[in-house]
Amino acid sequence: MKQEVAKATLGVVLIIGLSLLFMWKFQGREDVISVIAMAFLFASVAFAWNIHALSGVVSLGHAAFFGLGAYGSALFAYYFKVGSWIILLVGGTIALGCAVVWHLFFEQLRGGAYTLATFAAAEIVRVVVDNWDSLTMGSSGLTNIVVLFSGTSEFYLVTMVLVIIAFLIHWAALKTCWGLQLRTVREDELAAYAIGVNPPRVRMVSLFVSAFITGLCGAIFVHRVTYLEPSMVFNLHISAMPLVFSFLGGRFTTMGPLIGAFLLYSVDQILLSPFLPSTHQAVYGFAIVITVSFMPNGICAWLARIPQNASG
Amino acid sequence: MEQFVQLFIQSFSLGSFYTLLALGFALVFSVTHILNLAHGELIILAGYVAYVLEQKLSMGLWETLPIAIAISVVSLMVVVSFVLHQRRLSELHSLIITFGIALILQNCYLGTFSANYRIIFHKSRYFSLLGGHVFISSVQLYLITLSLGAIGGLYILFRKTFIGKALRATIQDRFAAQMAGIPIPRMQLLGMVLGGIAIGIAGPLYARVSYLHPAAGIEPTIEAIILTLFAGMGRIRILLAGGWLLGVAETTTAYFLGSQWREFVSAMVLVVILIFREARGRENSV
Repeated sequence: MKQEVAKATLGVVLIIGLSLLFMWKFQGREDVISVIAMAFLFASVAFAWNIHALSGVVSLGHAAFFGLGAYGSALFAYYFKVGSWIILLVGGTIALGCAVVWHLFFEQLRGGAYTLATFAAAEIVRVVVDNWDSLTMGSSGLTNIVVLFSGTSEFYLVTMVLVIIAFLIHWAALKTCWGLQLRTVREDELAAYAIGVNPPRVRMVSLFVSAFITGLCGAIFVHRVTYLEPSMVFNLHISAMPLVFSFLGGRFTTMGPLIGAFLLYSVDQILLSPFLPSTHQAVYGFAIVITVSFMPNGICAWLARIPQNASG
Repeated sequence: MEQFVQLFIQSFSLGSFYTLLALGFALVFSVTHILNLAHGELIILAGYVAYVLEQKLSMGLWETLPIAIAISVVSLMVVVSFVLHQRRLSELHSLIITFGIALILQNCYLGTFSANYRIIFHKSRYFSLLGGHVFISSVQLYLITLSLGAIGGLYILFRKTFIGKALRATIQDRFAAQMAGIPIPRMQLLGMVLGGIAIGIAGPLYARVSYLHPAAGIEPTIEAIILTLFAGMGRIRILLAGGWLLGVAETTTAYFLGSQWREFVSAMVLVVILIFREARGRENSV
């Protein structure tokens, strides 16, 4: 345990060090800094997604949490004329509310059925937000949303803090006692019951934590881009991204989702999107197919040649 | 009264078409146990092929159908055999991989056909029924005849031929079928070919009743999943009944609430079916 804590501290120091290094290195290059900040943001979503996935189920509907966080926070700021950091927490809380509904209805589902249900659930949320014109302005979208970050570098530092928090929670979901509980639940539920772990409870906590962080990320995202329409946040791509990052980086490693996000998102944005403006997102599809077929435990595990353990 | 007959005709034609949409998914799922999330994208592919052939090269529906079918059969075989050759194959794995394939296909469509909404413009002729108050359009007639034709053909193949019996045996119990000397890989190939034919017929029709755009595939995929889960494996008549029910549900919602709620209904039905299936499964196992 002591060793793991030391590793986590090393990880945090590494993240801070590298991100400050990038900030210094790319001084004046707002575009690069902004891409890295977005990579941090989506890495936090990936960490959040993986915290839920570690309990043994795969969600294809995290766009619902992300979008509800974004919409909740933007609409709260709009209707109540609030412009402080509190509205970020509102976003997270609304996503958490959605997670409570998920938990109530999907608690019994496992495997493919759960994945399909989340896939459909995100679609349901999208249609409701899209058509509830009087509350959400529907498909015409919101513009002039309150800006919370005074500049790119402030946004960069906020996402850095966010990714560190997400990293620490994700680390806890792998290495602490809670992590062991999650592992038992995903590998053998009956055995988990037998040794006194309460699987529904463990699963619920992981879903709630995951939804809250995802909603928070959505809220931060929307106060950076300052405009919002349903198809921007409630699309398959947002649901797919955390899954791709986690699978690519390695689902059972503490740094995996961050490394996946960092590699894929920056390659996508900096190298591919200028040359292939409309098809560059296909790289996410290729990344899923290739990782799942050839290195099911992700880059980190593949590099470290960790013997296969703990299949989801 | 006439309104309801009109609604009934609409639900009947759409419902039959939904069954046709689901047929390819259901066949692949029952023969190979793969949940193909790229199913809708393959239908959209056939739709785009038909769009190009009919709008740009001004070919008729009957000339495009064989080409669309050939392309669908080949692409479905490529997708399914790629997934089948995975080392660790579970339902969840097949979902994730086909989801990746769906993303790749969507972005390829975006690059090739742009994000514009496209539809095969079809000048409908209307035929009046019941003394001139109720109409049926030629598109609806196409939907009904082609869908019911394909479903009926498959039903006859399943029930009346020897190879259909072998296919049914494969669906019901793969290992027992193997014991009886049925070559499973060949049956899986047959399932893919039949599924590809269904997709190839569905695509050109889809391009007539609904707009094609790169992300359009999600809707037929959800409908196919709903009907397949509702009917279970290899039961064509229940699949058809489910298609009609879904048609009624979606048409009445579109009529009373507006067509933008149609997707809501289908997603809701999917969630409800998943939850009920789970509950029923638990009752049976206890």
